[in-house]
Amino acid sequence: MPPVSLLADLIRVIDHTVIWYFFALNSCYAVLILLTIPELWGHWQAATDEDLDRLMRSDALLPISVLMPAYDMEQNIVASVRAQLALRYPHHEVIVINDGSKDGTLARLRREFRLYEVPPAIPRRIPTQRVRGYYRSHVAARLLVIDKENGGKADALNAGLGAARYPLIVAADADTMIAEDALLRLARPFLLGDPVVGAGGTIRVANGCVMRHGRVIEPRFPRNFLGAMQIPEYLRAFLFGRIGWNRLGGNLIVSGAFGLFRRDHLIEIGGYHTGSVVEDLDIVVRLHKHLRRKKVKYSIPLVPDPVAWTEVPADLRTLGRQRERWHRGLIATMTSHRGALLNPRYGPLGFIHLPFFILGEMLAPVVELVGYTVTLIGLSLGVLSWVHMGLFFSVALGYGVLLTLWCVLLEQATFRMYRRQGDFRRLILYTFLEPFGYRQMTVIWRLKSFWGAARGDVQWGEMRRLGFEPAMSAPTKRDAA
Amino acid sequence: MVSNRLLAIVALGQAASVLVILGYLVVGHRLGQRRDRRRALEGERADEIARRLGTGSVGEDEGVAAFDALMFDTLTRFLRRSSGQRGGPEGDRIAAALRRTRWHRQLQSHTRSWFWWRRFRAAQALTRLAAPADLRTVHQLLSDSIPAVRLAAASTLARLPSPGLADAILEQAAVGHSVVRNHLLEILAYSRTLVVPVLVRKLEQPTSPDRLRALLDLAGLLASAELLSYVVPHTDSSSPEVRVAAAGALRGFPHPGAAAALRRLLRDEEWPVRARAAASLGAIGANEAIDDLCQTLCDRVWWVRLRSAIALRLIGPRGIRALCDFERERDRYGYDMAHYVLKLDDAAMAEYVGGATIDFSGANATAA
Repeated sequence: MPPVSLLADLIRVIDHTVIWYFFALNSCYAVLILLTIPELWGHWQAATDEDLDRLMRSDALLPISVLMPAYDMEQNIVASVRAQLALRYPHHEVIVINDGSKDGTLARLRREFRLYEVPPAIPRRIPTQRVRGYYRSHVAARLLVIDKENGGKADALNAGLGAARYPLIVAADADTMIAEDALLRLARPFLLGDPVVGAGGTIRVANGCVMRHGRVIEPRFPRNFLGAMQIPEYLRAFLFGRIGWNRLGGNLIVSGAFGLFRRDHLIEIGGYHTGSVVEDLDIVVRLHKHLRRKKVKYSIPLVPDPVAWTEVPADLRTLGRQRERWHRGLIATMTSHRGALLNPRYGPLGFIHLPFFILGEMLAPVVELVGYTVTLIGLSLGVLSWVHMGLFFSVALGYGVLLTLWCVLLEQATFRMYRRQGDFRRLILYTFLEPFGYRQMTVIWRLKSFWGAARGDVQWGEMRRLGFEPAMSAPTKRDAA
Repeated sequence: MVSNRLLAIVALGQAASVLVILGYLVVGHRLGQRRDRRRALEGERADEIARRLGTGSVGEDEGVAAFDALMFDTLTRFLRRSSGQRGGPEGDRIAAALRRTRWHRQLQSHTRSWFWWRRFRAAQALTRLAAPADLRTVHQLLSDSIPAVRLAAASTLARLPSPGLADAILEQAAVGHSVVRNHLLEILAYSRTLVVPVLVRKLEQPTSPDRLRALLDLAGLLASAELLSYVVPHTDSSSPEVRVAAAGALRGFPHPGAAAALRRLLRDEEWPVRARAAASLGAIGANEAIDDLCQTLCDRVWWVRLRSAIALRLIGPRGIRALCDFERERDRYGYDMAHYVLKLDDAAMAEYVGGATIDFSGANATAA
């Protein structure tokens, strides 16, 4: 057989493999969507029931410790802490962990909250970098500030975990704005009978929203192109990427920016892993493994209506770094937990979660790159036709559009976050724009992460943010009126 | 092999689906607006029918017929809205009419629905409409798999004051998850006269520490004088959890007998018991315990020192003087705590006093 013919056959085989991969992967997504519908319907019924809402406001709920790691947050720290202290929940405390900030974060906290150093009456259950001091406040009894040497986010969370006095822990980023009633909503599964050990809320894009006093008062679509591009992405990730998993043995990701856990289980597994760049994914995988080994009945649901707002990167450089880090963390986590893959001891984790995350998430950019490359080579050699290429791309990219539209439909049928006509139209527009250009950029960033993972890179890289003030809080015409 | 024909079929299917979804989004948006308008109108109609029924300007039959013309959701919402506004004979007339509607029959069938939210709403409706004939249904809902449904069913106790139901709720509270238990205890505390005799009987019977903790928590919430003599003996329990619960319960009994028992608990070997006893002494303003609280202000555990200092401040001028006079030479940590609490502003004090109890399960504090 001549070499050209061999090459042509090879191209055809790879081309068909990639197409079937896309069919299989997107069919998995379609199954997740189908599973999302009853989940979302149930949560929507619960979220809109006034009687259940009244029940949730009772003092009977378990108290929560909100952990807030802070590093060089001098500008926003006071507003963030005030917002967390003002969350609507019967009993909660806020633990700010100053992770060796080089700016005046601690000084501002001391001044604004009249901090008072207390003796270190807290056992070190999980080893962390040296704690320099514990502070309580004369004006907010629910506030505890821990000042420690820099050790990264996971280390700071571990210090907070040791000091927390309540049975539930909410890990929240200091630059994330938790909606006022989000803790109440996040605790809802406790009234719905689930043996909850953790629960995740929904993260939404804060760019462009109208804000006052550290709270989003009106959700708006971002004016920045990159910010707007991430709206369909976040919607898809949370509305079907995670809710559907509630029915398949629980979620594998509870966002580090806003997630609830039972403290005792976190301590049992030794807290957060300091060597991970995606500590949120790593801790949930370890929780799954721990609870499976203990043969404990548990659930880690995603609850769609408790919302935390986060500022997403608005420039390509920062966005690229973020996506590269996320994917690098995914690769590292999947590699370090490969022993659980197809291991009957871990049930759905070994047979559903890990295979899906490895084949469907981790390797997806590699397959996508192979697909683009082989199609172009096949086209130039005349092995594949222009018609075939057109159909292939329309099917591959069309599937993405279809799935995102489904999510928009689910969102509009339930929570309807973007109620203004203009925002709704832009949401639809960006759903159609996302697969052209933006998606390919994310593929490149995710491919870069394989190199970083191979080198064992655990750096976060600089995350440039514009900040919430004043860019997103500029008065609107309506406010002025 | 994947042919172009297959790809074309998939692409066409996708395009058709996209069009259908887009169409649905647009039509659904319009329909939603129409539905909202209709709901608002029907809500007004329900209010009007209820007003006429209440004043007696229309008969019950006429009212039932008018209610039957409304949507299911409208009446569910109306009942929720009106229950806090209309009571007495007027409320009874409306409830009687509602019980004869088609909506009510449908609601009763929802008590056995597959969907938990339907069972929950049916149980909630029972809290506003239940009659003695519904007792069996309430008992059935009380053993539902969803805690929220059980809690809604338990809330009917205010409308159906039955000792059997109170007993069943107390049983649920004793075995339930802490969140559910706390909710059930709150519900029971609203029906004091009915619950106290049941509780007295249960406190007399030997039972497990877990169950006893629930009973003592309820006794503390009810804080009825006749319960004191049944709570105090449990301060001598061999289980630290029970002693913590007994110390917590006594915060509702400003009585010399309670103060004496709590002072004894200040010398308990378990720090959570000492911390809880100190907090309760502050809550009942036990002047006679000032010297004991000054002693526990030197405790080796931070939480005990904190609770003792807060208790002294809560006791009033004599307690505050004791805090001011506490000498550094006596105990440096106690001195620091006294001054920390003296400097707390009123809002911070309120947060400490009204805040959640410490989670003792993890034995969170150790020696300073």
